[in-house]
Amino acid sequence: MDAFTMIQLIAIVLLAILLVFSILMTERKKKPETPKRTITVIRCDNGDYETRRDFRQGDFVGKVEGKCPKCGGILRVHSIYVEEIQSAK
Amino acid sequence: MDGDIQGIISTIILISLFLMMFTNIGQKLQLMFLTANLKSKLAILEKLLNDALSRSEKLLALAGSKNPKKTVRKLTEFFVIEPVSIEPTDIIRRLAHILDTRRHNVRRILVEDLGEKSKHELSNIEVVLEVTSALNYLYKVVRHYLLLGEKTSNLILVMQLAYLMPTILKIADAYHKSLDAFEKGLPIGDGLGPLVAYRLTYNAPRKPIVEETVYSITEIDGRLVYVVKAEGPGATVGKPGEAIEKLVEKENGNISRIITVDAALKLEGEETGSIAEGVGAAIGDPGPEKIRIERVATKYNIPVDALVVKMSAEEAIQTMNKKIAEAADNVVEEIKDIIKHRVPRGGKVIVAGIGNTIGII
Repeated sequence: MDAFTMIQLIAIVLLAILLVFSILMTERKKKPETPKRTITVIRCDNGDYETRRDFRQGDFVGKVEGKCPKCGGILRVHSIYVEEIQSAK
Repeated sequence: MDGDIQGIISTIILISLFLMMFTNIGQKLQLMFLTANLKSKLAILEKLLNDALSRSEKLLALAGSKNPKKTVRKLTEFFVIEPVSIEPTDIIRRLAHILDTRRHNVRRILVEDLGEKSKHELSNIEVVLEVTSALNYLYKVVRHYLLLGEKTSNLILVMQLAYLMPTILKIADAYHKSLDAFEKGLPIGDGLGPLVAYRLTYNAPRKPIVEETVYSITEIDGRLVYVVKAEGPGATVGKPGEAIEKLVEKENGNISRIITVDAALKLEGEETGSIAEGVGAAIGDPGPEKIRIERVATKYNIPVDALVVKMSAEEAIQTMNKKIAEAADNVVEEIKDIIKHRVPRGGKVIVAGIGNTIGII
């Protein structure tokens, strides 16, 4: 095999690698999404008590959730949001 | 033997180069690869649309629909024709009229099918159907250009669509994910304005003022504050412009300041939840509500402040995240600061929490 044929073969192999690489880059998998959970934050109107729990169907911001265990004030849903679940490593 | 291989390879390369340069085979090949790629992306769009359609039908069936399939089809194909814009006289009134008619017609179709339901339940169903309708529109437009490009072998058309596809898929994915929030009645990122309004007034009574819009009265450091927001906890944006106009007229223009709070689209690189202050009416409606604020403020020479919280388009329509929920408290402090420093003691101020109030009373 002479030098010219060798160069041609190397060029073809390089082109093939480039092609495969470009396909892999285009079709690369998306990073898996971090698991999330929806939190309902409940707070006393007097501001002396706050608790968090998972969201339940029917929750909305401003919903009355009973009486405060500390002062007897009204407990309301203060906010509802999603947060990422931190995996324990 | 070596000479043979070399000869074959050289001939193949030469013929290939000749075909690529002097015929349209290269373009045809490109068109073939691009359309194949676009078809796989269209299949993803179709999957999202089918899922949205079945979820909409399920939601309607649970709400007591007699024929969920028919209602979903009717509402996802519902369209609005924009008013004539080459004759701008009265365009805002004509646009407001068309938008009102649209809202009432959609509501009537739902009531006819579901019977009397609470307006909050109807609002949530309406928004789920709007999201499905948006996905349906995206799917049909992409399919149209793909088929047209294929039919006319228009490489430029197909290429443009191929370059736009990642953005289109991102938008479709955001719409699809937002269904979860609207089905469950969860607050969304765009609910930042109503959340701020809630945190300014908490349990103060909500008084209806115009369609699907309420106001509450509170006091901050000796200043009377009217807080306007859409009527929750259903998915609605209300008519905050009309409400502000009515309140200002009710007070004969005796309002020291109007403060509008809204979610704003962030630029890439900006941080979600960052707050920016400016002037003007912070409201992203098609026009009728914003112009009412501007007109009444100009009529009585009332300064209009704008506070916005930055977020991406996806975050604005998906369940509110922690950063946005926490930003609401900072916005409340900023509003209090503006009121203390720019509104005289004994003065009156209007604060409007603009946005969709789903999940927020």
